[in-house]
Parts: sequence; C-alpha cells; structure tokens
Amino acid sequence: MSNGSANFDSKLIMRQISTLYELALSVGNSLDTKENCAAFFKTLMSRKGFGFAAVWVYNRYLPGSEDSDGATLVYAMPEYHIAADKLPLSHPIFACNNGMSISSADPFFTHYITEKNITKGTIIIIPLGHLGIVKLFSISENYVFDQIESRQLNGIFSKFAISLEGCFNHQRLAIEIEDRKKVECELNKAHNDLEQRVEERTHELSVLNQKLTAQIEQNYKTEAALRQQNDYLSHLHTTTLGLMNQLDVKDLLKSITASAGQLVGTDHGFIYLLNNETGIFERKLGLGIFSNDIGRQIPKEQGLTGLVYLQQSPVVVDDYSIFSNAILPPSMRAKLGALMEIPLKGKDGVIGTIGLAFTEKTRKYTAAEVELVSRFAELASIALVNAKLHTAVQEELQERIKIQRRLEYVSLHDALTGLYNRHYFEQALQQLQDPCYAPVGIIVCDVDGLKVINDSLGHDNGDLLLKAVASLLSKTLTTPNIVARIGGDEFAVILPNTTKPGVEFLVGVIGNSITDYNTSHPEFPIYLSAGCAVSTTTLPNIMDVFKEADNNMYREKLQRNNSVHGSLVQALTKALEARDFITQGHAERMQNIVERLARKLGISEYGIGQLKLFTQFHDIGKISISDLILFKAGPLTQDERLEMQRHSELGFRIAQSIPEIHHIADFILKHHEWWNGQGYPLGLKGEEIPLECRIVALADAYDAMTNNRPYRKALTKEQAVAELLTFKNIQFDPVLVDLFIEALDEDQEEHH
Amino acid sequence: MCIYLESADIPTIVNTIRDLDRQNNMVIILLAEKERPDISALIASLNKEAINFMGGFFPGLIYDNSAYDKGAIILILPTMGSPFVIGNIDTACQLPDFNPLLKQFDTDPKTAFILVDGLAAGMAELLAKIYHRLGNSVNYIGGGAGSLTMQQSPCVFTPEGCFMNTAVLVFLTCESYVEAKHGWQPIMGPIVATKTRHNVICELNWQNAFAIYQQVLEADSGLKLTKNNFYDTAKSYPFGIVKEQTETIVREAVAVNDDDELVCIGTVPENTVMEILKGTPSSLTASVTEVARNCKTSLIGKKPVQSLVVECISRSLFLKDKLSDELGAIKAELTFTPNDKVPVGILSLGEIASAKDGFLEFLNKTVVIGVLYE
Repeated sequence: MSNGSANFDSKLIMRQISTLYELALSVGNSLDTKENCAAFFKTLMSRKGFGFAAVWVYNRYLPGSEDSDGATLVYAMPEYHIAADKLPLSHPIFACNNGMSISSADPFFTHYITEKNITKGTIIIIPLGHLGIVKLFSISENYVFDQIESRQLNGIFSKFAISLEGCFNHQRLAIEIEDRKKVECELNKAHNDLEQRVEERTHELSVLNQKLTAQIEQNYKTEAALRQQNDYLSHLHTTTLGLMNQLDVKDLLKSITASAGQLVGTDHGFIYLLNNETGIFERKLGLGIFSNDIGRQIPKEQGLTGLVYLQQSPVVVDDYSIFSNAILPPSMRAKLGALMEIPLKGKDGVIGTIGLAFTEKTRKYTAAEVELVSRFAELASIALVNAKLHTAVQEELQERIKIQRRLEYVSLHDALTGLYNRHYFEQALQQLQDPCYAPVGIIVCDVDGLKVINDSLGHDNGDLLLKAVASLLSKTLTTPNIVARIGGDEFAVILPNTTKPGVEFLVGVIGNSITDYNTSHPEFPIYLSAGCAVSTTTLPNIMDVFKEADNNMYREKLQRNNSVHGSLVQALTKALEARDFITQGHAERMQNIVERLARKLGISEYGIGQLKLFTQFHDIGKISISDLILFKAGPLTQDERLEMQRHSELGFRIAQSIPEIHHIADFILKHHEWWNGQGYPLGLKGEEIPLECRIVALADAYDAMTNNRPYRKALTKEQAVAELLTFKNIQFDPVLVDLFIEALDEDQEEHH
Repeated sequence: MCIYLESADIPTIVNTIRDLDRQNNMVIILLAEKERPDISALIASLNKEAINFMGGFFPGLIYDNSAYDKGAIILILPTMGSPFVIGNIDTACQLPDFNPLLKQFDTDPKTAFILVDGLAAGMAELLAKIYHRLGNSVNYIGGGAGSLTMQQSPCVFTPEGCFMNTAVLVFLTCESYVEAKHGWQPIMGPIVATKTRHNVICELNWQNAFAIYQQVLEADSGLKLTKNNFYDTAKSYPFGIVKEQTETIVREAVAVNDDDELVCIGTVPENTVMEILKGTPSSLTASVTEVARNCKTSLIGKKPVQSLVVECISRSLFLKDKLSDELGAIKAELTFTPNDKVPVGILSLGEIASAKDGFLEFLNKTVVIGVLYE
C-alpha cells in the first residue's frame, strides 16, 4: 500500500514496479473486450483489493452503437452490482476529466452511484483517455487514491484504453468480418444456390433440349407429313374446285379421271358410270392405256368394279395381271400392275367408279394414297351429281323457256290462225302511237257469214275459212305490217309509216287475193268486208284511227250484206246437194207434191212459197252430219241413228243464222215429229206439230221410199202409199195422208 | 448443531442424522479421509431417509480443540434449499441460475458455504465466476476436499452423487463474519511467475521455477532441496501473491514435476508478482489468535449460531503438535458456553474466504474462521 510520502525503500519500489508490471502484462491479453477487461480487472481487483470495477465507454467510440450521445457499460465485475448499462453523458461520473475518488462519507457520494447494493465505501473514477471512464469501488471508506498511485495507474489505464480501443477496432473488424462472412456466406449460398439452380436449370435445359430435339424431329416429320398432306389437300382442293366448276358431264369425267391420276402419279385411269335401269356399268372415259377402251359394259356385280359396287368402298389390287376376278382382256391385263378402283357415290349408293392403274409392276398404292383418292372421289361424286343435276336443270330450263315462249306466243297470238291476237294488237296500237311510226294505217276486215258456215258446215269448216283468211292476209301484208285476229271473224292490220294511198292499195291487193282464192275454192268462198283509215294530223290518235277503220268496214259490210247472204244461201244449197247426192232432186220432187197438197189444203200463195222454201232446206242440218253416217250403206246403229237425228236441231240453228230462211227454222226443227208423239226431237203430237211439218214429213217419207237408198231399192207408189196408210195416225196426220194420196194420184194423172 | 462421530460407518451416520432435530435445515457431513465409508452407499442410505445433505471428505477434521484424521462431523446449518452442484470446474464450468431457488425464500442469502474438489484445476476461474455473479452480497466460507495423497478422486457429495472437479454450494440464511489469515512472512521478492500453467509454476523470473525456488530455500534453510525431500522443506517456504490492500495470498508448492516445475495448490496466474514466504509456529498461531479475536469482536451483540474453521492441512503438517496451540487459541476466543464444541471445521486442501471486502480468492496455508450468527 502506498502511503504517498517520499520513500526510497527499494524493496517497496520493486514491489510496486512488480505489481505494475503484473498489471501491465494483464493489459491487452485478448482482443475480446470482455476477456481483455476481465484479465486486467481481475488482476487489478485482486492486487488492489477493489470489490467492484466497471468500464463505461462513450457510445461514439463503441462499435455498433446507435446512440452516439450516451455511454455504455462494456464491463463490470461483479455483475451483481450492475443496475444500468446505459447512461447519458450528462451523468456526473463522466464529468471527471482527471479522475476522482469519493467516499460514502461525502454527501455527493450517491450522485456517483449507478450500481445497486453499493452503499458504503469509496468510488474511484479514472478516465480512459477519450474512450470513457473506469469506475472502481472499494469497500473501504478510507481508501486513498493518492497522486503517486494515480500516476502509476495512469500509464496502465492509458495502455488499457489503447488495448480497449484495439478491442473495439477488433470488434469492428470482427463485426465487419462477420458481416463480410455473412455476406460471403450469403454470397456463397447465393453462389451455391445459383450453381445449383444453374446445374438444375442446365439439367432441365438438357432434358428440355432433348425433348425439344425429339419434338423438333417429330415436328419435322409431322411437318413433312403435313406438307405432303397439305400438298395433297391443296391439289385436292384445287382439283375439286375445278371439278365443281365443271358442269359438262363429259368434260367433268375427264377432269375427274385425270385429277385422280395426278394425285397418285399415274396417267392411266377410267370411269365407269352405272345405268340404274339396266344394272350395267359402262366405261364412259378412259385415259392412258384405257383411252381406246371406252364403252365397255360390265354387269354391276362382276369384276373389280362389281366388288367396289358390292363393298361400296375402294378395292386395291396389287397386281391386276394375276387378279382372279379380272374381266379385262388378257392383252390389257398383262400391261397392268397395281389397280385401284374407288366408288363414286350418290345419295342412293354407288353411281360409278374411278379406276387408277400403274403399269410399273413395282409401284403399289399406299394407304394414304387410297385415303386421298377416296376423299377425292367423294368430292368428285358431288361434282358428278351436280353436273348431272345441272344438265337436268338445264334441260328443264330449256323446256321452261320453250313453254314460256309458247305461253308468250299464245298470249300474243291467235291459236287458230297463228296471227297476232287482239291483246298484242292493242299493245301494238299503243306502241305505234309514237310519232316515228306516223302515218299509221289500219285495215279492219270482217269475215261475212262465218256464223252460217259454222252452224251449217261446222266449226271445222269455219276454222278452215278463218285460216284461209289469215293466210291470205299474212301473205299479202308482210312485216312490218302487223296482221292480227281481233275477234271471232274480225281481222285487223296495222300499217306503220304507210300513207292513205298505200293503205287503199293494199286493201285492193287483199280484194284481189280473195277473188283469186274464191276462184280456186268455189265451195267455200271468202266474203270479206274491209275498212281502212290512216292517221293524220287531224286524226293523230291511233285508237281513233282504228275506230274509223272499223266504222268504214261496217259501212262496207252493210253495202254488200244482201248479195253476200244471197251468195251464202246458194253456197249452202250447193253444199246440201253435194251431201245429198244420193237423193239428188229429192227436194225439187218434194216441192211439187207439197205444192199440190198445199193447194188442196187451201194454203195461200205466200204460204206455199214458204212451204216450198221449207221443203228445199228441211234437211239443211245434214250438211253437219258425218259422211260416214250419212253415206253408210248398211243399217245405222243406235248411236248413229241418234247422231243422224241431230240434223233437225242442226238445221234449226243454221236456218236461224241465215236471214233468208230464218223464218222456217222452226219447221226444220220439227219436221221429224210423229202424229202419235213418237217422233223427234221434241216428241210433239197431233196438231202440236205445225201443218207445214206434217205436210213435208209425208212428202219426205214418200220421196225417200220411192227412191233408191244404199241399203234398199225404191218402193213402188202403191207400196209407198200402203206404208203411208200403215203409218196413218201413227207417224202421219191421217187427214193429210188421205189428201196426200189424192194429190199423188192427181199428180200422176197429170204426168201421164 | 454439531456432532463428531468417531466411527464414520454409514448406519452410525444415518442413525445419528435421523435422530437429530433437523427441521428444514440441511445436514453438512464432513468426513475424515481415513476410514471414510463408501460414499455412494452413504448417499443411497441418506437418500432413503430423504435427508437433505451435502459434504465431502478431507485430510482431517477439527472438533472441539482437536484434529482427527478419521470420523465424521455432522453439522446442521440453516440453509436455503438444496445445494448447487457446479461441475467441470477444471474446464469451463457454467454456474447454475441461483435465483429460482433463492426466490422461494423470504430473506436474501447471507453466507455461501462452499466445498470444492481441492485438487481440481480452474479454481480461480470458478471463484471469479461466483464472485462475478454474487459479488459482495454474501460472505463466502469453504475449503478444498480431497486426499492428502494428492490423488484426485470424487470427494464432494450431495444426494445427487459424489463428484470430482466439482464444487457444491449452499446458501445459509444466517449472517456471518469471516476472516482469513496465515501468519507467513516474506523472505524474498518480489519474484514474478513469468510462466505458469494453472496451478503449475513453470518459470520464475524467466528461469526454471524449481531452480530459483531451490536457490532461495537452500540459501535460507541451509538444507539441500531435492525433488525427494521437496515438500518437507517447501512446506515451510510457500509463495505469497502480493496484494496491496489485504494479506498476501499464499500459494503452496507441494511437488516438483518431471520438468522441474512447481506444482501448487491453487491457481497461479501468469506474471503474478509473488514473494517467497516463511513462517514459524508462533507467527502462524499469532495470526489465528488475531482472527479468532476479530471474530469474537464481530459477535458482540449477536447470537452466535455456529463457528467454522477451515485450516489448511499444510499448516497442520507444518505445525505438527503445535496445531493444538492454534486450535486452543480459537477455542479460547470463541467458546461462549461450557458445552460449546469449538472449534469445528476441517483440515482442507485450500481455503475459501471473503468478508464482503474484495475479490474472492482460493487460499493456501491459511486459517479461515467464520462465525455464523443471527
């Protein structure tokens, strides 16, 4: 223990130096702060007898401290006394720049106590250079920390401060190294992870690469297959489009065969089409070695084609030359190698086949080729059906056009004469209203007595008359003139750009033509009334022109009416005589006896005249009776008889249409009625029957009986009279029978 | 309460303890090295009786003014719970957490009673750790167990077993006064232990330790110091570690190894400034008398519970029959009633003492007297 006084005791000095030496050597024994402090303070406390030691370091020198303003307890021995490990720099213990010691006897002692369980003793505070302070505690209140001891320890604490700073630096370095190690560790880990990932990734990529390589190879193969398939399909598409556009069946068949051949690379092919009605396949087309073998026919269930028909699917023969069911001739067979035949199908089954052949013996069909051609054949079938359908439609269309044209023709033409009809005529009138056609001439013609002809000679004859008129007009008045039949017996002609003289000239030409015709056809002369008109500035309306022409025609018709009708009666009489050649003179003979009887009956002269006219035309209806019945040699059948009996009514209608005999039409109708009511057509009896009819019936029967007929000879007068008497009260008026017999007798007497 | 058993057989010990009024106090069993019982069997027997105990065997026992090299002392002390076992003190021992046990009691511990394997290395580190943990909150008293043969073996025990390289510690609820003195005087120094290895001094003043020691002893004693007669001479010339505020700490060299290094009881830190000491029976006895007197003084106004003496076995070997003088001096100072059996303690392999006045040290060739009081 130092006592602070001058002392030159060498032993004491040696002891002090030795202790300092020991303390000095205890400094800096470790770069770890706590170990360094522990070594130093254990020695210090042991040798100096301190009960507590603490090292406070300003935070600004402390490694890793965040609070730079305070101080931190970095070491304390024993820890039992530790109360706080952080203090502000404002604490009194940090204000002792040169160190101090304070005893618990000092009232400010507690100001320097930052520990627990220290109440008594001495606190010594020694600065640690700029780093902080060392706080020591001795249990002794009388501990004297004198100047010599302070100086002795200053050097030691300076060294300790330096060693502590070294520890801090080491700690910083350690922290940094640790941080760096961590970073390095993290980097290593990251590196290892990366390497592992790279390795894994490399492995994955390697595996992927292998997969990709395999995939690429597969893709190449697939692509090649697809390209080939695409080529096929493209070809198929192009070909099919070409086929679909072909509607001519023959051209189509050629295209189908050629295209199918191109799909598999052969020029040799053929097409069979099935005739469903005959059940025969007929080769419609051949290409290559089949080009000269067209028209070959095969029953539908024979040969390779028959197999295709029965299976309704493609049949492939690898070598047709040794095919057992071959039906081709040996010379053809020998040339063939593989042959494929594919069905062409319609909605109801096989409609034909496509055959494709190789002449190279080594060339075989692949499944893909068969499939391809099969698909092609499906499309070709559609094209073929379409083409057939198209042909049928075209034919139907043509037929419809014909019908349309016919309808148009019919709608604009007269069916009988072939001339334009009234509808067209009226349209033409409207069209020719255009001034460019002016002047327009119109001729209106009317066939006189057509009704009489129709009624007396039948409509056939009437129609012949009309056709004759039409022919005559159309020949005379050619295009651009428009000739039309505008009514039953009316014709009209439109003459565009024709002046009035021109029209009148043409009317004259028509008249001449009729004259010529009547000369060559006296039995059916044409009587034509014609009127014409021409458009002028005062008569610009074409309808007005037509009306004027029509008026002119009627005017002409009135002027020539009597003569026409007279001519007509003559013509009818001639016609009646022509048809009554067997009874030629029959009417004239009857007129005599009838006149005699009429006189006996006291009938007036006018009445006798009418009766004679009636006698002449009583059978006028027979001109409408078929010659087969009229001139039949044998007895008439029931139907023929009924037909013959129709002449009464026919005569009635003819007479009604002819003014000259119109008034005797009723007599003509009833001249075959019987007294007892059993006659025809009305079944009148007794005096219901007009007297004129009863008279003519007697005369007609008598004359008929007394003249030859094809089926019998003529009766004698007596025989005839006997017959008359027999049918007295039956067929004939009994009074008149008697008077008639008298008249016959009187007539006979006069002639004799 | 304290009983000496001449016969340390297990039934006697167990029966004696069973018959004692122990209340909740722990039984301290101090065995003499000679004729000691099978400690494992003793532990098993005591455990059967559910006796809370700790103890050790020592080179000798002190009981009622006499030293014994056989027998057993049964001591009942007011302890706080079971003893803590601190093993591996020769390497890097870890102190247990004392707080969970101490929190079970209403009062703070006042004294720590420590028995330790006296031949274990790392004693200084152990005591530094204990002091670091507890500081001056308690007084420390204890000593080193083991055999005088210097052959290390399991020597401290608790109900958990008998251990080597181990300390057992129990906290006492009574206050104490502890003081240590040795009476040895420096004859040479300072001298620096420039190279040491735990308790082995390799070099002194950068020279062969044995050679230096030999020079000093031969010069002072006039005797020839050899390895063979080493202890006979060396026991009179221990080393003293210089302390400025308190008495020098004695380190006794007990042997010379093959490398001419001095083997001591207790750690000698490297670069320790030491002196070579020399004592006489009278100086030693005088020191003990002073300590006993101080203890007596400390008990003024207090109710003594038990006095304990930890005296280094080497002192008894040095003093021989003069030991009774020391013990008599103690008895003279600390006997308060006619029935007091004073002193009671052990002849130990090193001593432990601290009286709230500084660093806890492992002592040699020293007498530690502690008086427990309420």
